[in-house]
Amino acid sequence: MGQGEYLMLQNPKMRLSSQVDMDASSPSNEATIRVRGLFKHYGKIAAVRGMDLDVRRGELFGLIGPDGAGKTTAFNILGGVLEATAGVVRILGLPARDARNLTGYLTQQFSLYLDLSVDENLRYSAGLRLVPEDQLEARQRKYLNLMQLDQFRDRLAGRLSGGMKQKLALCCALIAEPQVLLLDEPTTGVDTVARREFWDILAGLTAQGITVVVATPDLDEAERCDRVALLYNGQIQQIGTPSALKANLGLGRLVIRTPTLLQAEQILVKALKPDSQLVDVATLGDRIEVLVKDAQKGEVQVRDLLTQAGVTCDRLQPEEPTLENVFITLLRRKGSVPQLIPFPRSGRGNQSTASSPIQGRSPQAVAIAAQNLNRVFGNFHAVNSLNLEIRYGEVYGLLGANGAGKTTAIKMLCGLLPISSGYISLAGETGNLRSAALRQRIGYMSQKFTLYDDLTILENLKFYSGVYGIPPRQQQAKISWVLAICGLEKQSHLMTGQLPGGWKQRVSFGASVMHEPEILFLDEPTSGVDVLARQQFWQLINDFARNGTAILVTTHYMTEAEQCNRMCFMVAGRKVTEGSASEIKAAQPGQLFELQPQHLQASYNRLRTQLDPWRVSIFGDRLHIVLDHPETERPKIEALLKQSNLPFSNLHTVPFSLEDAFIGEVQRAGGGSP
Amino acid sequence: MLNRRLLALLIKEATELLRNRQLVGFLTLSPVLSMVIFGFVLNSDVTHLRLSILDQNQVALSRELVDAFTANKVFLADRYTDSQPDLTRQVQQGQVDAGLMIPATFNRDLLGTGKAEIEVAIDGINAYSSGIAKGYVTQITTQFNLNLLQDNLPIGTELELPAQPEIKFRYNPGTKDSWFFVPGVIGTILTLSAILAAAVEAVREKDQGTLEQLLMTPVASTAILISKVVPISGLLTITLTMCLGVARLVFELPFRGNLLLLWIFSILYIQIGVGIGLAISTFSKNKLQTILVGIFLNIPIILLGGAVTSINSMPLLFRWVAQLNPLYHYLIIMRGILLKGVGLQVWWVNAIAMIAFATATLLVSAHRYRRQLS
Repeated sequence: MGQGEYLMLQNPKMRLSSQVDMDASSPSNEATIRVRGLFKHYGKIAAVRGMDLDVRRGELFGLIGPDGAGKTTAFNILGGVLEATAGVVRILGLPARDARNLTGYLTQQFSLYLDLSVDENLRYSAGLRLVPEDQLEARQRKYLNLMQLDQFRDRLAGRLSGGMKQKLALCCALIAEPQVLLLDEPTTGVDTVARREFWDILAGLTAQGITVVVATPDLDEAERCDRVALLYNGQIQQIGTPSALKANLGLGRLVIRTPTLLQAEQILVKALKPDSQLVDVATLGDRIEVLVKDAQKGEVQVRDLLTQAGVTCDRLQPEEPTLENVFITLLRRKGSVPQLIPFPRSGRGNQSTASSPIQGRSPQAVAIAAQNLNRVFGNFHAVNSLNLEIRYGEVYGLLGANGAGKTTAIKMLCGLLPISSGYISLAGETGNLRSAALRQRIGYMSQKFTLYDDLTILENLKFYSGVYGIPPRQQQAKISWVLAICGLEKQSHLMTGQLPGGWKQRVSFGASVMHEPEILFLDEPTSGVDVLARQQFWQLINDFARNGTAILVTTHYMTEAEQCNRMCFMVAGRKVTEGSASEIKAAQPGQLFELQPQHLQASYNRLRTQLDPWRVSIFGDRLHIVLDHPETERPKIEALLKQSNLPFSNLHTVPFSLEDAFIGEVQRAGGGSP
Repeated sequence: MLNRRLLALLIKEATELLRNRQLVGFLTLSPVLSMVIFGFVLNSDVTHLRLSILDQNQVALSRELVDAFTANKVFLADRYTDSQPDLTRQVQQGQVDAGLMIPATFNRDLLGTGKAEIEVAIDGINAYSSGIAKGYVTQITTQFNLNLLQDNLPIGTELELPAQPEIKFRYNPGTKDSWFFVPGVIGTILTLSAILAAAVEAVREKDQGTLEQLLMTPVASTAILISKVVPISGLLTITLTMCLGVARLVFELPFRGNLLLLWIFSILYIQIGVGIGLAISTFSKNKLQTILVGIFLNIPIILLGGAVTSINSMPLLFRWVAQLNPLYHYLIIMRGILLKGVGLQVWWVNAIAMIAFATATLLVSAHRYRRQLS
């Protein structure tokens, strides 16, 4: 206790001295964070085993890894909350515990008081960290302005959106003007638009010399870091800039578009042999992605394979591998990528029709149809004239920012919420969407945890197989399957409440498909789930779709959305775009440019004065700019940067990602989050 | 098909209920324990009142009077004092419950004029015990007077008291207070447990966010309702049986009537409590709200049920309100069966009232609960 008080008195002085040598342009060789031989054991379990790490000042450093890799433990040690079992941790030359006043730490749970207002939360944090009273108001204004929260100062934290909450939490961490920010999965549950904004803010902070270490399950986000460490099994497996990691992978990525996806995939999967060029084959929505040892030789081999089998190939395009490729390849080498275990389907034999619902259905039949669907809450139009048509065997993505009406739409479509007006047809049923017979044919996984925490995993599964009336003969096989896909065969007696979020989500998914639904609704099934589990989820989703299930899914992750056959973007209750990922990207007006400025933050700020803020964003050391009329706008942009004395290099066009398309569509429709 | 679903629901509810050790403890052990405690503690007898004595006379007669006061358990000769102000102060400061002052002229006055005055000061803060004490003082002095008269009358003349009531307590010959209180406490505990436990269990699904998922399964809302009611009622029936057993052992409660009837009406009463609990859960958003509403509702039910109070001495309005209280009717039935051994022919009105209450609460709560589900 006494030591803590002593430190608090000491710290303001230290902060002053460290601010003296703070100069954003001078590269500092001294590592802000230095970790050597870090170990942490919980009883017999080793969470961190021998971690070495140096993070430079002003670096945006990403920590990625699957669930249980030791990320949160590492953060707790860096944040001075947890004592290491062995090893050295120095932050600004101090032990982590003593550096707490120089560190801002955002834990995974929202660290806000939901019954206090924005201002009160800030004042509370400032009080805890002994922010001088005379500076409080100025800092409060500065950071709330930066986060664009200044008009919400009196609003209760509990009434902010997920993105705004995280921005406020960041404000609270920043109010003491820390040198180091530790952010443990700050963007989980935050929508795409708000996420991009959040990362722009982080980039801005590092430009001011603040060191940021951030964990994220989303590898698209990790691309925006200066450097990334891949954590697995308590150790750092790889570390470097995203481009270096991708280059080190030594593999090429081929994107294949063909009308006969399934056939092409089967041919390519057969060719996955150690002596072939092909390393990995994955179907993503409307295309196949193949990892090859050498881009050119691989392309030749793939072309040959497909031509031999008589499969026409619309386009075969070599592309740069992604961080996700790097990550999954690494984990595959470690042997920890979950295997696809076939679902024990009951439909083959002489079962009753209820247990083999999908057999014999025409694949073109419409599973879910909605016409002019509306839902009004008071004077709030949550869903506005929505039209949808989803066929059996199709994976359809419903994408949108928080509050765009996705969950309301799903709840109406599956009969949980009465509609205000419109027409719904669900599995051919148009009248009573609540009959037991219809629900038997539908699977639903809601956004929140759908399992009973106080039952064991096995009891939960038995319960769901019981309420769905699965015959006892099949029950065992199906429960074993769920346990197998989750890798929980030996832990089935564990209390569900003890499971990490990612595992819970997988068990819930299993529980909601055991009865082989014809139609499956998945409301953010992968929120908080790591990359590996996400990949497995999508394999399972695709497997069900191929067996004829119609699947409606919502997600915040655009890499996942790419796996949908078709999708639509919703903004403020309306559908603004619909189509396959390729169609939507192709339909984007204008072009996306990438450039490498010398003064990143200054260029970013300058460009944002001239363009809509959403058109400019920071990706690592590069800027992305969306221009609707490149012929006329590009020279203007170049002139602007030259005039402002902001040199840049390597201005070139890059293809739109789905995220770019999404943000563009949302912003043009006027639905950006506040 | 339907049976398998209902079975799955029942297994799930029972497992969740039994796994909640705290709740199971709250529903089984603590009722028995509180019944025992209440049975011993709730006691309308007034004994061991501390008495301070100021005997300024100090003769045989005055000592006889002091003995008369302290011979029974009502008053305890706590201390003797020798000054009037001391005595007053002791009563004032609550050091004693009563003070007895015998003046120096007591002996002379009594024998000379046949009349003497003594003074008794009683601490009236506890209106109940001081009222009883006052009655005792009157009784003690009357008896003292009678004895005095008998001793001093000429031999041969018998003193005849005009009327000597002979009071006989039926049904509770030892007038054991515990026989009155224990059934009351059992009723109270059943009310409290049934309402709170049912409300908390029913709101839990909403609280943890699993309700939506459950609604998307093909189970009927009636099945969900049954699965919420049955395990709790079962557990409370066990509790009731335990309470009755312990009451028999510890307080020697006489089981004079038809126990099966008592059991049936107890289960009916549990259904009323569970029904009220379910209804509360449909009005509340979370567990905390449910518990608070449950507790506030419990207080009037218990006070107006005649569990530890006497309905007959309440103001007229409350006596009418008590008629609308299911606990009131249940207690009449329970005391009737246990203590009097009387059957339906006596309390059939109360039985009809209870059946009406049970039907009404279960219908209302089922309706509300199912509406919440859809």
